[in-house]
Amino acid sequence: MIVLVLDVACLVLILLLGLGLIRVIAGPAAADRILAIQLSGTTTVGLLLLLAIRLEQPALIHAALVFVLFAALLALGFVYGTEHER
Amino acid sequence: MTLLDGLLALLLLLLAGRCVTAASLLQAIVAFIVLGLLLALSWVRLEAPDLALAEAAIGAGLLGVLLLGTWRRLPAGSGEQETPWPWQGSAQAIAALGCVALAVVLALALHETTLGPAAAGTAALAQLEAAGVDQPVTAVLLNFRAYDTLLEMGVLLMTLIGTLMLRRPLQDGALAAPATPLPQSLARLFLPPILLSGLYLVWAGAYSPGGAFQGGAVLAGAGVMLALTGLLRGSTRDDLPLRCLLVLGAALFTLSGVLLIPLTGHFMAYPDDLVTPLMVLIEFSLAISIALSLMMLFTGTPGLCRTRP
Amino acid sequence: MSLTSVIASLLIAIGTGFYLAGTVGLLRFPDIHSRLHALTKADNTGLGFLAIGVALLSGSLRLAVLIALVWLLALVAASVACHVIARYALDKRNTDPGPPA
Repeated sequence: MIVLVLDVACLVLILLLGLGLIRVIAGPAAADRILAIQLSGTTTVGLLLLLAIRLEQPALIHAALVFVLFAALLALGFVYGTEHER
Repeated sequence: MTLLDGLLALLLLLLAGRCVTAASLLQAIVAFIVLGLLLALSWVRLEAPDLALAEAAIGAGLLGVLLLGTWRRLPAGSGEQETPWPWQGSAQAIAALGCVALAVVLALALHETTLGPAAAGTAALAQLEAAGVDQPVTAVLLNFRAYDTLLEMGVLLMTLIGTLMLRRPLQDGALAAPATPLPQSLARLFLPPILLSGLYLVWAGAYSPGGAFQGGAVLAGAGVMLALTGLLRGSTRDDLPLRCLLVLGAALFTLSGVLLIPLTGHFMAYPDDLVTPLMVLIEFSLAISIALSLMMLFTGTPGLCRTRP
Repeated sequence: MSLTSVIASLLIAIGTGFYLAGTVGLLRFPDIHSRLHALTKADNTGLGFLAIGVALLSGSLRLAVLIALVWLLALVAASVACHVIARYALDKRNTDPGPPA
């Protein structure tokens, strides 16, 4: 029963990940695409937590932690950093 | 779960296609980053948590930040609406034909393959006791296939040297602090957990998924975060201690391989009673070199220094 | 089915619902600032419910603490990330002539 719940939740999350791709592809602004990355990141973290229990692989929680740490870094890397001298 | 795998495969194909056909560089970069997320999930489904971790840290995270940094340094509008070069149509046709041929060959190979335990994998598992670590992946990387890992370190160093040579000289002043205090607070708050999880991943490599590459990439992430928020900056001054740390991993790996020849009779063979401490030592020194190399690939400078307020 | 797994299933279902709301918001809201709004709040609430459900199922204190850490760091990271993206979008809006409407 609990396996079924986890499976359905994983399936819904991956579908949402696919739907979020519409913003990745359609944009329109650069910031929208970066937002879509943030959304995919949070969804992936959720999926990893679910899969960690479903597949009995606690190491996946570490992978989720790594994703969380890098999600903010991607936003910072988009907004800050050396700019081309114009 | 089959449905999940199918969807995952479909999304992977869609995004991979998007990466090469996107109209602008930023669109391609975003597609590549999301592709990294999905690849990590695919590795999870293929029961390779080590690779999922590596993909999370290197593929989606650090590589994404590197690409975004490069994108920011390009003049506005470059990479969009390029004029077609001569023979572009023929080149595209040849590439397409090549892809189709490769797909056919791969399909045939898959058809011919009989699934079963691979001979090398079985042999590695049987020898695990002698490897000094409990995790098969780490045992293969640092012991059974040590030569290969050493050369990978060489590739990383060469990449860094090449990048430093090709980069336009940068003025000593680097990034200004962001206009809002939040990013710097985030960096200060995140630094301890990132360092801790990075070091933990290196240490965990001995008995569970993790290792020098994953841990090193996470440590590099901490450095990149400091550089992005202006707490740390690249400097054009050469820094001898820093260079020593950059080669520490490869040097220690080679030295331990060479110096122990009289004891074992083989290059990169380790005596039984020394193997576990040696593995841990090599793993940590590799992680330090990997972290610094990846970080300096981001700043693109030969040195690093703290920003004084 | 034990009480724990019933509660966990419920929490996971609620979490998935919040994820759904966040994604619909990202797709349907008219401009970047409202999209940010949908994203940070709904998604991280969803992750929170999911995390509590998963932590209940994990059956070990060590993993539960690790999962809690994932959620707390995700909250901080998402707030700062969205703050800087919002500022970026605002700057661009003030300097750009704006899209041909």
